[in-house]
Amino acid sequence: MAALRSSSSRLLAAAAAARPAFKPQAVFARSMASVGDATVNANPKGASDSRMKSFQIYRWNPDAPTEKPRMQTYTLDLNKTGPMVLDALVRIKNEIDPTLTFRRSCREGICGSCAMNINGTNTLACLCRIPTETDKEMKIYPLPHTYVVKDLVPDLTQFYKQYKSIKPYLQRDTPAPDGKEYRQSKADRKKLDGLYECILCACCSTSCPSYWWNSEEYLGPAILLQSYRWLIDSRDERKSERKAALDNSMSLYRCHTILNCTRTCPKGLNPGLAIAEIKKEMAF
Amino acid sequence: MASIIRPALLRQTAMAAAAARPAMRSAFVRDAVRVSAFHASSRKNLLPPGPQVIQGTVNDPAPVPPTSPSHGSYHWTFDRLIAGSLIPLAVAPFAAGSLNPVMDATLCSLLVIHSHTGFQNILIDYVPTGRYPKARKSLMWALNGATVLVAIGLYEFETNDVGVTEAIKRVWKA
Amino acid sequence: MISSRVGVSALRQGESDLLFWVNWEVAAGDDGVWSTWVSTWSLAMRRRRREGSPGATHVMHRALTSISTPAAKKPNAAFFSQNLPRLALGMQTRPVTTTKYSESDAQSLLATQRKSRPVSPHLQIYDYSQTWFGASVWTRITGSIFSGGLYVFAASYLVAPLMGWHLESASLAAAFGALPVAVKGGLKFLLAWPFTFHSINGIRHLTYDFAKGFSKSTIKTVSNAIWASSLVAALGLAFYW
Repeated sequence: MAALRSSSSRLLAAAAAARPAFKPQAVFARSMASVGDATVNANPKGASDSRMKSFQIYRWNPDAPTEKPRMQTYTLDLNKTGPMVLDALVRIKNEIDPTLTFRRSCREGICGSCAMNINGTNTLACLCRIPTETDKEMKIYPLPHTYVVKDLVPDLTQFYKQYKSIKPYLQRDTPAPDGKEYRQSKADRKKLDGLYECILCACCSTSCPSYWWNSEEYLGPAILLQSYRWLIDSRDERKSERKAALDNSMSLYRCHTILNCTRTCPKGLNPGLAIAEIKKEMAF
Repeated sequence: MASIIRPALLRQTAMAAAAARPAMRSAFVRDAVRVSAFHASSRKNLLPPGPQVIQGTVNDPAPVPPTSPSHGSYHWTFDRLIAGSLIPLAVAPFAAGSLNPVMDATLCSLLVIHSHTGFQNILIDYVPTGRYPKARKSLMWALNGATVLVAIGLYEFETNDVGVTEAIKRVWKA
Repeated sequence: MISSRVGVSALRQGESDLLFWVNWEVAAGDDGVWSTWVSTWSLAMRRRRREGSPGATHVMHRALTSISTPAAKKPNAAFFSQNLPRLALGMQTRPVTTTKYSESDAQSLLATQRKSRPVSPHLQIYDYSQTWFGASVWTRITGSIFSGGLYVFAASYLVAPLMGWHLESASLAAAFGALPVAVKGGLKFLLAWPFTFHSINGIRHLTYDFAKGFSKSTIKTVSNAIWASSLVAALGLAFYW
């Protein structure tokens, strides 16, 4: 221990001595702008070919819970911004307002973190192009009818709990015939296409008015699509239990084929069709 | 009266100010207006949900309701059968002029059932048990009572009058 | 002396996005408390995996030791020689105070924070063509108009003798016939359109129940077709039937 202690204190002493030699400001030139104005202009007008676009973004701060949510406007030059909405958000956070909070991870539509309501429709910010008309403002809200943790971050706890409730994993009692793996015909595998691609971004569920009104009990399109994915998996052996879990007034049958889910899915899947298939299978 | 005048006065003042100094109309004013509008709109929230309450931790699955096909799959299939059988009965009067009493009575009873389940669906959707248990229960019973009354009323109409399709036809051609 | 502590500061977040912020608080001699957002975390984990050492504290010891040992001896020397200035300068360091919560305290704090959360806007901001002008909600609206009308009429017909109302078909037809032609046409259209819309869209919903017609393009074209055909059919019923 003594050796360790002395080595670490030596290190820290060396660090303290070295400090003036390095200029942190020079290394990390990016500075954080102060927040306060309702509108912050990242690019003061100067270049004549700049294409300034305004983004109105929903803000709510949990540190001031009594304050009402508000819309804050940011203006960016599209010439200096990447093509996607996520690029704009990242740029706003980096250069204008570091307090803006949103989820993001993969920036290529596979993680589902950046799901939000952009110009009235739920989609992934990383897959949504910024419309180039600069006269129209862009409106960005968190996923509709969710409890907001902060700014664009919704609480999806209930969504994940519902996902867990459908037992999203293979349930089998019989061992594999060859003792190695559970095999599946090509035709059976094909049934999973359009279902396994779901990334659980919650765009569809939070676009569904039925889910808005009854998210405590109705499972919503995303979870029902996942449900169907396990229902038609030829390797799963708990089909009847899975169906029985859905056979009540709320879990499945609050779907009235409004089809906002199918219209909004950023991955181009069809939750509406999956739900219709479940209903059909359970009815006849 | 004053409350009616005041917005107009405000608007006049604002417009006068804007006309006098158009360059001074900053983005801040625009945003302030927008923010207030946003707040005003959020007040008329439809079906306001209560504060967020989550049962259990994130690692507990959401509870699965008990299986009940009479409210689930049977009910759904029954609903579709009723709706499907209404199609020919709705088309027939256009082809035949009107319906004979038996067909007319069938149409009426199917319509009552279709309406009843439709209203039930509306109540289940918009009056959740979790949030308004008492309202839900009383509205459901009120609906049951209304449906019984309507069924009796239609029985009276069918037996004492000319029948629904014929009556609609007569009014339509009047 | 070196002490390490894992602070969980995820209470404001939902449990779904629980963030474990790992703070290593290194108290070194008289230099005071240093708290480092450990960018060496991944390195420590790597070392831990390779060496199979059990305790995180131990790993931290090793990490710090390796900084002070000659670079050539250690495989991670390159990493440290690159990052030593950053670590030493405290570029990513900031003093952090952490509060310890018991599991139940944390849960109750989260529960109170949840209660103050707003609900994000929904009907007001969602694409109107899907929510307000979607065919589905209009099926419900038109259905409710007719069912409501049926309920009101049948119930009033039942009590009509008691109240002295005349709701027989003959008197209704006479009353309707007495109206001006334009009013008659208008009323007929106002009744005919909900009927045609509800019927046509009802048939479409029955096809949905056979899992047909779900492709995005079909949804769009059929929706437009339903609005158009229901309006045309209603005009026909109102003025030519």
